[in-house]
Amino acid sequence: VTASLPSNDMSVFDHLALGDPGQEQSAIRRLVNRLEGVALLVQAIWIYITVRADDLDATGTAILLVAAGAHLAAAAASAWTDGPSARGGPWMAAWIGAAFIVPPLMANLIPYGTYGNTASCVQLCGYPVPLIVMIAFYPWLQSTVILARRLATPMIMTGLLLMPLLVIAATHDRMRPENWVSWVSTILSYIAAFILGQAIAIICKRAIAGITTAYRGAFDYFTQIVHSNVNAALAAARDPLAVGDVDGMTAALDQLQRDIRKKRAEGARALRSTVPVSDIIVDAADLHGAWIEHLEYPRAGGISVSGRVAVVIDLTLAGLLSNAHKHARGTHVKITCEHDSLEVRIGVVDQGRGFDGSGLDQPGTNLNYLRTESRKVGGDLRVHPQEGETRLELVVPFRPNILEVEPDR
Amino acid sequence: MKILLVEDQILFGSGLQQKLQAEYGMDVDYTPDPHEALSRLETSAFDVVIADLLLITVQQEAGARYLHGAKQLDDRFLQTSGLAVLAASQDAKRPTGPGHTEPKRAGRVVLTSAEGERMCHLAFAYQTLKVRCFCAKDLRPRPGETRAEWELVQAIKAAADGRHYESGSVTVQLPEERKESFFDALFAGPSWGRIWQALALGRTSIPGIAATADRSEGLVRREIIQMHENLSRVDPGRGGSERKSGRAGSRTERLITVAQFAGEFRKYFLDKTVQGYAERKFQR
Repeated sequence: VTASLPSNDMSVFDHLALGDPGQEQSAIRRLVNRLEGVALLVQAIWIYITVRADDLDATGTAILLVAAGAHLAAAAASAWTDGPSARGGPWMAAWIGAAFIVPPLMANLIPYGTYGNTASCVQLCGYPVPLIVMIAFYPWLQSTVILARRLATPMIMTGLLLMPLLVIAATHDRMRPENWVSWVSTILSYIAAFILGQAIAIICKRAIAGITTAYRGAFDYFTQIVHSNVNAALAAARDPLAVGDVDGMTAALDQLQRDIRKKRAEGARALRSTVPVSDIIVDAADLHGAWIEHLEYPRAGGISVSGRVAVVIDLTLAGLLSNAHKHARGTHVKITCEHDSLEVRIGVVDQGRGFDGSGLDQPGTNLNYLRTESRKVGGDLRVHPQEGETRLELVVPFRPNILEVEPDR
Repeated sequence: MKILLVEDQILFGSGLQQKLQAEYGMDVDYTPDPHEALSRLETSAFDVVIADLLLITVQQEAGARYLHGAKQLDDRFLQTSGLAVLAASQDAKRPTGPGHTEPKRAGRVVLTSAEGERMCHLAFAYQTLKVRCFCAKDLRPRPGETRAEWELVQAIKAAADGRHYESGSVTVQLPEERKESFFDALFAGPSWGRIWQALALGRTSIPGIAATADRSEGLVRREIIQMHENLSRVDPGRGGSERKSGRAGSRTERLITVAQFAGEFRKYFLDKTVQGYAERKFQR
């Protein structure tokens, strides 16, 4: 479930994972911040549709075009700077103020019929603002005190139903059939939006439930590992036939240490957006290089890659270390690691018989598969035959697609 | 040879003490408490100081409990780790008399489990404190490997002789040789120490960081951009936008990147020695 989430949403969950009091509200506000720009853009489009659809005179058209332009500018601004939701504090008043001021303002600016036929405008110009604001604030209200949580839905529904009616009634001397039609159509559009919002909420809840279940499962598995290995160690210690079976205890505790280390790494990778290269090398060496008599490690502390690139490094190191064992019978293998600001280069140098690098270009071979995978993230796998040793080098960007992939190297 | 050993896991530490004394004839002074180690360093001279990096002490546990709900920075947040012992022993003199030879300064060995979360501590020990001997706690020999001598003893002898020693699994966690140290990049401004502390305590909004670090919001906003830039320079994998390759990302994305780093290396940014060095750097 975690892997399927968009990467930018991971940061929200990372916020939640930090466990700061009030962090959840802050994280939700940031999420809402992402929606602000979209809401403003939609509003600008709606107003523009009104201009095109309604038979307005010049003044009405000018007023609405200015309104559309202002919304468009605000939407553009929200793409590069934080909006009121992310800023919090007094900035929140901007949205709340808009919710209450804009509908009557728009209704007074564009009274029905004054500047021409404004049938579309009733729904599209001003009244959607409270809808957008309330939908945006809905998750925020849900995360506050219990009273607000209980009142949020009825308050929003009542407001949505009554506000357009009150605005229309207040700005017209007498309710005409067109007014009632526009009110009903407005309410219908609100209900449709509300159902859509609820559907989105259900999807989000299910996603979060999936993550929770995954973590609960991981935790259960983790405790099982600890439990069974500690039991094995205790059994070895208490074995009546071999009192103080130190070898048995050591083996059980070694296994426990390896398992815990692996689970910790998995947990950390699930929460982080980057993976330390050193951890990838240590894990690969533990799993695939344990048989090598002399395995030389590189210095790789402090550099990290994205999860997608980490998978490629993981795969490649596993393949190359296994390759060194199966084909090269190497007993002295060296892993190298270098980097610059764009890419990281990880090599495996076999000082035994050497790799057979010809497989790189032969479809169906493991080396060719590894090269294909590395190219998918904008990297490459290369062979450097040297005297007395063979060096296979994986070159990958820190994040996928930073480097352009050449068609055939 | 007189050794000071600091290791918080008493079963492991006392086992090492017995083995080094019984099998190698070393005079080992062992303590699980870094504060006790610091006072022993003041009163006694040692040939080699061996220190674990992350030490769980009573003070550390009390500090961890105090973290919840606190809004202002406080000395209680800062933890004393093995780095304090390594820093204090940097210029410690060796015992004099028969059997003690050059160099005159005590050798230092970092004894560590070399897991990823210790990366910043290891970089500080290597780049800032200039420790050159690193021994992995995982002292198992690899299959087929025959060692003439126990790895820790090799590290102790190397430290005593002023030579370098690195266990393979620690080497991989050390930074590449480079001109700029992690510490210099991460503490390049006078307010950065406090901002990192606030981030490490879980503050991730600009107003929250500013209030906790006792700095203005404008300053925090500007410094976070520079902190992100420096972090991207030492670890390019953390720079850039998640969605837009090669771009630095929005201010919020930069803040989140920096906050995630502070969260991952929380113990480093709440380390008394690291923060002390950061403070002194700008007092000079």
